[in-house]
Amino acid sequence: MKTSLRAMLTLTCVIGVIAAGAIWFRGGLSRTQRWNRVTEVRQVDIAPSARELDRVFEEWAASQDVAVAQPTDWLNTCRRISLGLIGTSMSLEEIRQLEKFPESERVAIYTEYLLADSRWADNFSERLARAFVGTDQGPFLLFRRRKFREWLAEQLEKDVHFDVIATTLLEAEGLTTDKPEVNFVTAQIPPEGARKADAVRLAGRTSRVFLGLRLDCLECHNDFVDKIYFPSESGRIGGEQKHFHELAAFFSGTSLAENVFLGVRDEGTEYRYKYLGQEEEVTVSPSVPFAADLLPREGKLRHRLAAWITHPKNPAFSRAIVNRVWALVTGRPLHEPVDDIPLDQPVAPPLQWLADDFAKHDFDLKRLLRLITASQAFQRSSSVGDDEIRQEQLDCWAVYPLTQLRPEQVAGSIIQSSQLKTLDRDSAWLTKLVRFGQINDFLKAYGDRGEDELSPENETIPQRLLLLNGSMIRERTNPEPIAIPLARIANQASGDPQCVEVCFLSTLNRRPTTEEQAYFVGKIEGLRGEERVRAVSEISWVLMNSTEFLWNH
Amino acid sequence: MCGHDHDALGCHGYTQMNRRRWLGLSSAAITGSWLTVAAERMALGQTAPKAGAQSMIILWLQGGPSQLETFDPHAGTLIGGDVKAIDTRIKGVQFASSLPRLAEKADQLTVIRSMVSKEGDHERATYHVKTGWRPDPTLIHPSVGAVLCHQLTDEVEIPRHISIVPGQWGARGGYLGSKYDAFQTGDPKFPLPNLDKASSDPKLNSKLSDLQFMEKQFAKGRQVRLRDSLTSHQSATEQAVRMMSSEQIRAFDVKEENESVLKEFGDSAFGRGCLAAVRLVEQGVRCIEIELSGWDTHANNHEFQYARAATLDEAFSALVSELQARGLWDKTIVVCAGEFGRTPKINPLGGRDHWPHGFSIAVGGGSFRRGYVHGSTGTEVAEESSNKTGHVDKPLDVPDFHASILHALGIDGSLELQTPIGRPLTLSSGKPMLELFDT
Repeated sequence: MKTSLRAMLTLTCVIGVIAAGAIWFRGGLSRTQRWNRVTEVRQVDIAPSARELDRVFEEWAASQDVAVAQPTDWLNTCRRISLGLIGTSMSLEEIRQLEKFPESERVAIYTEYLLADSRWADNFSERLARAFVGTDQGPFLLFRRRKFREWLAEQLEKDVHFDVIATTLLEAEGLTTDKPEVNFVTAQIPPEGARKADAVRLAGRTSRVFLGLRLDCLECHNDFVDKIYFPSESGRIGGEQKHFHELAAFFSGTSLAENVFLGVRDEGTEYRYKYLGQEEEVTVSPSVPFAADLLPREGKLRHRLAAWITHPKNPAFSRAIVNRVWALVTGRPLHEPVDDIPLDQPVAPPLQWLADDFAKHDFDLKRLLRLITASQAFQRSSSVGDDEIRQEQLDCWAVYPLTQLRPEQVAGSIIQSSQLKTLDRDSAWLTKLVRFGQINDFLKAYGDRGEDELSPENETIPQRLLLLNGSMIRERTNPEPIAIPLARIANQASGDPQCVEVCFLSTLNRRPTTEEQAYFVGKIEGLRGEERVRAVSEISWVLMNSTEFLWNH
Repeated sequence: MCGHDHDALGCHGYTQMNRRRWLGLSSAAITGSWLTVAAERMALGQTAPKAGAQSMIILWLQGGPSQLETFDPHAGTLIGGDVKAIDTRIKGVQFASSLPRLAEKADQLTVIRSMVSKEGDHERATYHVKTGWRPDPTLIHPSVGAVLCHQLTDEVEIPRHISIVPGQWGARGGYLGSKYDAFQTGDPKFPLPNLDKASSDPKLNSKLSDLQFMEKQFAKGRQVRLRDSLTSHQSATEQAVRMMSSEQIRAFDVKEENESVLKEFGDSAFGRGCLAAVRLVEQGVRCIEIELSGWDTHANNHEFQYARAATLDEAFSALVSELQARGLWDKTIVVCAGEFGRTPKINPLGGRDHWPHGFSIAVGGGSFRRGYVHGSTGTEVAEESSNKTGHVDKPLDVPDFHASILHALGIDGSLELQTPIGRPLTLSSGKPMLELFDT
């Protein structure tokens, strides 16, 4: 092998190890510490609030005159929590560990266990980063997405409340290298050497992410489809061009300083715009389209805007965040689209209740997550027995919706399912490195929908082909060394029914029904050695290709 | 979002829309949103467009091909740099000497030398040219291939929208849905990714039978919703398996062609992709996009552009010949385009930078005129001026170009669809440039 090739391979390995290390070894409690810690869960009592939330959901269902589905079992609820918080299904090890606790406590315990896991912050930081800065590469050298995401993960792990995170982003100044939050601004600097951040793009993204309002159309014209209204003292006012540009004016001076070592600064530039139908540009003063009494009169422009957006009495902020977080955990928002929540109409009652609770408790994200996973709506079945599911039931969460897993959830679940032990920061280096590489390869082939990941989509034929024939499932179910856990399942289970049960638990995170167990026991009965391992691998292939595995349900 | 130009009025078809018209559409949408195309046309009182080409092949030149080193050379001038020009089959029209074979096919093509765009960033400009719309943070527009597949139905067993050797910004279905995304595949000399022949796995039928068993178990209590729109998993599985068993997938295998035909297209992934595209059109595939990247020449422009153009020249000229030889030229259109052109001024590194203010696109086949050059660019270019398109005669902007492509395919670009964000939108925001077509 030539020296240069060897050096390149070594460098590639080093970069891979560093990247994997950065993702997997950033603080957090070990697996054992997390299980020990869950005994404290009994002190984190949100039960009264969760019951209040349940009442709101029940009244909503009653108002729609729809029947409510039965609760699903604890295993399925925990699978939902796992998919929502860390982006993979549960490991067999976690299931066995949870079985040591009383059944009534398992859901709460598992929520606490995962909230103490760095995987939660890693997953949520990526999901939120997509909303804050998108997935594009952004301007060369000015935008460091990885640094931004790591900073976000650190804030989540430190329990920094969401109003503080939003304020830090909106007020960010300095260099992207030592102030990673500045990347929120530099992501919106146009390419080709511009210094000024694009005030229009910043206003559009800010309104969508932090206010849950799609105001982008107002950039060019007044609202002509009766869609955008703002509350006012006289009732409501229609969306106009000026509303958007007055918001953009808060970012008018946001630029890179002439001295590159100062990074992003506010330069106090005027915002000028030529409105539709007008002959000349005019100076636009910064203003907000509603609740103007909450806007501080003094201070830097972006500081004033941040204070207005995150004011506990601003109804839009808490609703926007709650709706997005609900969608990230469950796969579907309470109001669709996730970032277009009308201000002039009543919204889903649970969304309003959760938003009020979020604001009342200082925008505490972990409290919100605990409330979501503890709610009966989250724990309802996606099946209604012999009845036909009605759209009205789905609309008010009387039945849990089916949603296609996001690509990273599919990849994470396939890899976790083929391991008996939990894949987390305590796993072996090589295991983590392989996982890191396989997930990246899979996402490239499967397709990543970027910041559009919360919109409903159907599975495509290439995606199906990838799962039926692609390397990810094939290698993970191949009875060769990489699938040693399969061999252990096949050869060490105390009997055929137990073997099938372990396959189901590690893949679908549930036990087989009597009918399923009989069916699959028939596939391995009497087989020994390699034949038996091969048969078990085929069962795993079938389970990993099923709707049940590839959808949240 | 319409971009940041204050005169951009075309946002979401605003210029074609008024409140009354929208309200009329809204009521239709409430009673039955996502009407079929035919039903929508009837509702709008529109007649079906006259028959156009049945298929489209897009030669996508990612990175920004230089108009000066390809279809609009200006040899011997300051902006031409080292480029040399050669005569073509169109009297008085020259191409760069990088395209000798295409020069011989020029009488079959329409060359637009006056393309103008408002996007100078690779990703945004790619989106703009592929969809006809400028990027909008609230809505993803479908690429033209997705629109074609949405508008026309077929019974082929393989995907109707295919992207060969795609780059990072592939053709998407956008608001029409991911089922209109292009099926992506690599160099046709390799087997299709993840498309093992059904016959290659003796256990496949047994595993699919087990899978069917599991699907039935899961469907209990969820039957109706599963069969409707909640999950497309089973139908996607059926289509994938049908594709694995289809004889039509042989169309991807260019090794079935004679050696002489293969040689004509050149020894490149792009050339083989073009040959595969001919075979796929024969099978009834609607849109095939083949990408040739490497045109982003900020340094050593002349050398790199000529190298890329050599690959394009072989493949594109062979594509025209082969489509004609197989009787497909009149029912197929070919579009050769990149996201923008390159600056007339050569930078200190001998490169040319991004230039959306006067670049070239070549089209051919279908009802496009043969041997026609549309528009022109001058040699006196004010790159620093606010009016950067002053040197362009008969400028054709991207929305109008997009509308022209739809027109060539027999699709009415003014057709409005209800989008998922509750806003009706025309298929195109431009108007067809009728000068591009045979009368």
